[in-house]
Amino acid sequence: MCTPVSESLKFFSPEWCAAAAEASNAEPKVLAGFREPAKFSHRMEFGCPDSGLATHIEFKEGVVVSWGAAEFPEDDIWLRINADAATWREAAEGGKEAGQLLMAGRIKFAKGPMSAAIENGGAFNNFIRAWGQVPTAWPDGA
Amino acid sequence: MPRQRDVHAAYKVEVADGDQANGVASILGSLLQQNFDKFPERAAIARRMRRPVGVYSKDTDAAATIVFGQEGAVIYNGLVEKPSVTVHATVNQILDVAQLKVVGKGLVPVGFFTKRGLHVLGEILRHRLVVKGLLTHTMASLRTIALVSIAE
Repeated sequence: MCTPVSESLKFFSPEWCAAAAEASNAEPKVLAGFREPAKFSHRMEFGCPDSGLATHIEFKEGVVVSWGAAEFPEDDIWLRINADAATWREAAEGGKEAGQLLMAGRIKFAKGPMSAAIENGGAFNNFIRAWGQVPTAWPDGA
Repeated sequence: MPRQRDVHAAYKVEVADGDQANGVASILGSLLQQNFDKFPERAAIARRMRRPVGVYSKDTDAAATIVFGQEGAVIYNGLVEKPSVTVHATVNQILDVAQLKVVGKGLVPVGFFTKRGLHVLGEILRHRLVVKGLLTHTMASLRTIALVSIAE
């Protein structure tokens, strides 16, 4: 069943981030996908440069504790991960896993250790996949 | 008198195609440079690599070649310069291989004796993960794993 556009949340808006955080935290495969969930406490940026969108998210022990507008200082940002809206949509809706899109060069690690993506690949895939549970108003062209 | 090379000099990784690099080349570039920064002793392993190494990502149909030199490595899009070792793997298999621990100057693959390592070996035996050159260039194959490994 399709969700009416009027009920959809604008991608990367504060309301969307809150809903996606809830969906991610409710998905056990995310926590299980971290190499050491108890040690995964980091601030990160997820961006969509082609749409001029950037959000900041904070994980504590593998759980999303905040997600919203970009407001963390640059030095706090451990990972910056970018893709265009169409790529985020494809990963969220299950067309391809985020890891495959990373290897295809469509998701880019703009800052931070590549080892984070490798050892937490399962969490990364399932975290992005959880976005698909949020009824989303994607930017034009996505 | 010939000038001696500084064995402690930083080993640099260059991605030849820059912004046009494909995903495999780009990821290998970041991964190798971060590994050489974190584990500078691995430069000695890289300097022993006499021939290029190729990586082909089966599910994204993209490849890259690492050409090792004495001062640094260059990564090219595609399979070029006739690599002696070429890994044909899915994204998940590449991620598994990159987590295998190798010690002893890159020649003792202790990571194979783990659950993940046994899984990788099983994939190799079933020809789902193909390492061309594994038998004819075994040391180069093991050193390749050591260089891309994030395991400490």
